Amino acid sequence: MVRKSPYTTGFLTYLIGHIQALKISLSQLKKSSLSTFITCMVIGISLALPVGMMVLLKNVRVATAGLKNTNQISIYLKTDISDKQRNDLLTLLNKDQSIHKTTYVSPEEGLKAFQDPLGLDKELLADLKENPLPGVVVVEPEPSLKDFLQINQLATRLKELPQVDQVQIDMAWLQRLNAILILIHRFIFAIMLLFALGVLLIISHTIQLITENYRDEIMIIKLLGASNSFIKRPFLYSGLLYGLIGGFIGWFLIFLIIGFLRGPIEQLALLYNSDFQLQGLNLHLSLLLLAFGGLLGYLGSWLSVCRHIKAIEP
Amino acid sequence: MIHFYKISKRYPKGQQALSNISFELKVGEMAFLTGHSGSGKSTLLKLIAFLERPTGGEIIVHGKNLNRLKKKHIPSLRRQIGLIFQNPNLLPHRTIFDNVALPLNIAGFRLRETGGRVRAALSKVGLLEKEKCYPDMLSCGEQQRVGIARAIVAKPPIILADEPTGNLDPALSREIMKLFSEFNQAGVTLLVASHDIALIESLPFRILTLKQGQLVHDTGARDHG
Ligand SMILES: Nc1ncnc2c1ncn2[C@@H]1O[C@H](COP(=O)(O)OP(=O)(O)O)[C@@H](O)[C@H]1O
Ligand SMILES: [Mg+2]
Repeated sequence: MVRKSPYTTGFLTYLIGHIQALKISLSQLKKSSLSTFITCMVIGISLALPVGMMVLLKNVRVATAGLKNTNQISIYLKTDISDKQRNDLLTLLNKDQSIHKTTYVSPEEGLKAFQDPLGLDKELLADLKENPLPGVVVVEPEPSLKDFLQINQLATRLKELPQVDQVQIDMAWLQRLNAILILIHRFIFAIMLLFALGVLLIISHTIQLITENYRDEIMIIKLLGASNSFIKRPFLYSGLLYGLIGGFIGWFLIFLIIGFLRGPIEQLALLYNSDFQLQGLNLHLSLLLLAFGGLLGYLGSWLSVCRHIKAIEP
Repeated sequence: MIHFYKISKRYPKGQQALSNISFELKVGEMAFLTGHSGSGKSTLLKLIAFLERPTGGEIIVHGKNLNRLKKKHIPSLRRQIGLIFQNPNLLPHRTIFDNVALPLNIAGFRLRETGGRVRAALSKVGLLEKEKCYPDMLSCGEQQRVGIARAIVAKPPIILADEPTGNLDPALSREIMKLFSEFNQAGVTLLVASHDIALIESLPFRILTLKQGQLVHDTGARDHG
């Protein structure tokens, strides 16, 4: 008769060991429920802040995505060129494939445009013996040139022309906005890293406190021949649970904030004739947030447990 | 099974706890370790379970030289040994059942197997009805017996006991010693520290006597009966 081994094998041992570890970890968290709650809250807030800012930034992106870009290049001509040289330039520009439209503004028109909106005194201007303004060609690039870099290349090329004195890109406000958004995005990312580091430290500190509370137990279990990984397991689960619960709290806080902002923002959008709707966290991002919390929790407890359980030797 | 070769042990801040101890315990042999308090009994048992390291000499347990034991192999050595401590070292937040089940959990026993084995071990020490209690609800003697149940539950090939009957009355002490001799008959190697000379001399087992860290007397194997 073949006796059945009393030992579980492979995967089943693994599973049973983990279920037991999870049970122990749950009882650890339950035993100190207030401090567990506070820790999870801190983790939740630390995750909600940067992720919430990301969500708002994404909404700004969506809101501004529909706006049209209005790039222009102003070419200031040299004052000593002849009319023929000027006309040659205009023909050349109109043939250029990167240019959509050109408008010539003569020095006289320029002066008038300058004068009108400012309401400058006619006499003051009459004092000027010569018109100081150069001729200007306003160039609208092809709409296919969206990139700032491409526009910049065009401008550099235009500047090489003999008739041209100076070239100025009227960088549209949208482009400036985009540059600012990229800056803010970076900033939020940096903040997110800092907060993630904070979460890591909170969890590793909390787990350290728990291992200290269980110092005697860890010692006894070591005496009975438990391997380090067996001892670590419940603590790793505790860290993971802290992270997951914290991630969920973070998600819930963002959900509340978005709900709080939705009304006023949609009203504002209505004033701008826009049907913009505030977007919250979609399923993908929600899961990502949870996973991020869990990962930080696991890492944090791993960092602390590896150091402390080794130090407890019978 | 357990081989001491010229073992000495000096604690970092203490005096010499053991000096030049040599003896061999064969597979399936049972022996008592006796001597006055402070003679080095606990130290000798701790060396076997790798709870302390010798300052000189070699120990071979289950064919393994402890001086050359790698750190990662310490847990598996300890699982070969059922340790019964002078102070029972139970986990205060777990029931008696869970305490006794610990070595089985550590070794990865089947869940179905666990319940039966734990109850068998508890009934051997006469505490089956206490399985749902917590350690602080039990008397010292009862806690000591739970410690014994925990040491035998995984059926290790070696059992080391440090004054296991220190907190028990004479009748119960005799009962526990009888239990040990039953394990011995089942092939387990046992080394039991005790200063209850009257009790151990009435039993037919080898007696090692320590005095100030030296092995002063070894009866060798005594006749059964
Ligand atoms: N952890 C320790 N540190 C320093 N000295 C110790 C330690 N444990 C025991 N000793 C000393 O070693 C000697 C033997 O002690 P021990 O092995 O506990 O004897 P026994 O168990 O026979 O009473 C004693 O002198 C004791 O003071
Ligand atoms: Mg002692």
